[in-house]
Amino acid sequence: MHRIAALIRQQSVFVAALLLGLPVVGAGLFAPEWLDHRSGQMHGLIIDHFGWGYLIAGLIFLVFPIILAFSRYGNLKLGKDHEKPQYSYFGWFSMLFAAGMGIGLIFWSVAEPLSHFVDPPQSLVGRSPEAAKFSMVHSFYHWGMHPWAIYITISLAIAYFSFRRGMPPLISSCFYPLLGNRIYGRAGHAIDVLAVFATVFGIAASLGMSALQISSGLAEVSPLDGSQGLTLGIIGAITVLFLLASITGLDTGIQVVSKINILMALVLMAFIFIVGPTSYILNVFTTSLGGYFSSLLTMSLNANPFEGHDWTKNWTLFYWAWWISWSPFVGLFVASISRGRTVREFVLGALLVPSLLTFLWFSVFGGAALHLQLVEGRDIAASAVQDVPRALFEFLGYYPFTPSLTVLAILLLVVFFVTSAASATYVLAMMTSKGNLTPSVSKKIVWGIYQSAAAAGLIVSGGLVGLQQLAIAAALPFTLVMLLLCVSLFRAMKYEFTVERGKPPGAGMNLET
Amino acid sequence: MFESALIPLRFDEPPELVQSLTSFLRNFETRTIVLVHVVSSGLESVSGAERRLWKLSGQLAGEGYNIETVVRTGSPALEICTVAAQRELSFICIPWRTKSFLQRTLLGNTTVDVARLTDVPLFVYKPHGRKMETTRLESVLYAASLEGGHEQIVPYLRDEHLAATRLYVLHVGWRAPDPWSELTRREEIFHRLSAIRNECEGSFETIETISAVGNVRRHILREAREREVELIVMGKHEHEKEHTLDTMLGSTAERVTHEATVSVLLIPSRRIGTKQEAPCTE
Repeated sequence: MHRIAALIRQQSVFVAALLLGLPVVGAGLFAPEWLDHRSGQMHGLIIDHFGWGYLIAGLIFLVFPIILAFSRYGNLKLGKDHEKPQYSYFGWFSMLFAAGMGIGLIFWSVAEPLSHFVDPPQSLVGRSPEAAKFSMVHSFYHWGMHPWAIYITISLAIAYFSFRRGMPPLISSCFYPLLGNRIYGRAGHAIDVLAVFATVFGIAASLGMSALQISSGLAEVSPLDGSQGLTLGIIGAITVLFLLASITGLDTGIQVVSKINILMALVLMAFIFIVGPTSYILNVFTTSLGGYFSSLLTMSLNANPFEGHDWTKNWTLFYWAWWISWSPFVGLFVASISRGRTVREFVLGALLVPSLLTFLWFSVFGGAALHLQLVEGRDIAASAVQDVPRALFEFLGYYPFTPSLTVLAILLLVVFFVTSAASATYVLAMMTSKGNLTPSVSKKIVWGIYQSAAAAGLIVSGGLVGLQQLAIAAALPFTLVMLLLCVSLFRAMKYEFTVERGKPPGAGMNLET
Repeated sequence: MFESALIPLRFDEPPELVQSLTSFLRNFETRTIVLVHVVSSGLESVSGAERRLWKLSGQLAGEGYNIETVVRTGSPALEICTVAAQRELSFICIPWRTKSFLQRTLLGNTTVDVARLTDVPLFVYKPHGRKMETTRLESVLYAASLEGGHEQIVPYLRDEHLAATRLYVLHVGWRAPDPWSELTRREEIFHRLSAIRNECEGSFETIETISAVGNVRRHILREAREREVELIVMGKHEHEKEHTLDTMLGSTAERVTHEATVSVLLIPSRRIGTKQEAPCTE
């Protein structure tokens, strides 16, 4: 009995996260309408009343790492001074990109620009050239530097406290300067459980959505009917794959899968770029990039209170909450692959390269889709908006070698799916093993099956949207956690410079100023 | 260390407050008092101010002080600091008068401005009903920065005129980024505070060292309140490069001077060993 009690105490985050998650998943399975209704209410309330907070926080998360990168702290190494980066640039970028947003890019690269084109805020006329420009600039905005900055903020803190200060790679570790030894108590556990929650719900919802898209893609190129059975079969098969990738670990499984992934994505993008309207795509890229940078600040703080607030709520605020709810998982994963890089290298690398790749991706797919719509007169926008998972496959239908392209896109989805889920499983196991960088296989299996079972069950019950809304609701407390994280990280770095590099321990305390 | 004092007067101070202050200064064995009034508005004449100061000086001379009077025109805080520096006075002594938030916002607070500008020690007298003028100080809180400058403050603490029964030496800092560095930091601070305690040994019956983590100003005020100290002693260090936030919000020393409910002695670190200069040219 004592041994069981001791075991539970030792595994408190794991047990608490597992048990507390069950009622939510249970509600999604057995009372999906109730979960959808309640989480929708909560989600609506948060977005209605704290939407402005997400915008301000999003801008802070963008500015904060940039300031750090260009300050004296930019030379600090995320590891001991002599350490070298563990992964090559290609391996690092591949894993960054695959874990961060790969699967979402495939899902939205055609659908999002077309949705904004058809249904922009009230101040613009739908299907107009202005709406087209707006759609591209805002797709850049939603998928550009802000999400990466959110991930960077959290991973920078985790990497600094873990690899430089020798603490376990947990989000609670980053709060030592503020909480002291309370990070080992309830306060620290609450932070870690919240992070596990956001990750589990976010990944389960994302897995479900992706399985639906793969299913609709398979229905395009095969006699399969895209039924629920097929979707569940896809989840089952992919679960086996991502568990294998996760069990083999970062160095082999996840890294190799990520590299395959990025190569396949580049092949698909290059094909559309070359075969499609190349000059038009480049024009879209250049114009949207200019529009993005020239209106970055305006967009960052634009809640559209006078006209188009609903649009902002449905898109921008949704995305910001979504990125924040994903940030514990991506942050921990990105931190674990960034050991040995300097703060400046990390911030600039993780901010600029993935953002640039995202801009290219959207320009190629979104630009080519708009070309079909505006220049070639093929109305794909309406159907893309109606059936978002099918949008990419419908778009590919206008290109030569459609079946091969569709298979490639499905493969890409599968591999992105596997990478995200494998990384999430690894991170969940790590978070619930007191930050052990090589968590046990059994824990990976438990979390892998837990996520997949939740996703599968929610597809059957129809509670997927409810769970997604709940993940977004978890983003509100996590935004506060992240803001405090910035304070904690800044304080720690300042301490290192003002105290540990030559001055006495009282330095930098502003007593006698 | 406390031979000569500058007392700025606005003429709206309650007579009992000035009385209480001059009585208290006997503890310091202050011999010379320079009464200063700064005419800062067109509604007041210099000659009128001189007459009022002269009348006051007559009353104080009866208590055994050498009294001088100075009337200046201009910015009160700047003029007070200038007179103190030019005459090489030991300290500036201001009887504290509480101002409402609105008064403070609209009219400013001369004491806090003096705290910001002065290179001469500043004693802000806040009696708050305690009979400090007649008895020896019970307890003093020294808010020690370990950045340097305490070697200039310790002589004041050891001065027999400031002697009290209890001394609390408080250091407040930020927690180190990890548990191991925090342990080192605590050990280091313990040694440094112990060194200060050893230096002050003999001047106080009991000396207690306190190390705290968090907001400096808040901790100083809390410790002063909870330990019921009568005087807070702290340094005022002129950093080569001031932080913008401090410039906007006021330094810790300025804010403690303003927010403390007990008297505050502020000692600028430039004071000792350097020739005092006027903060501005006339």
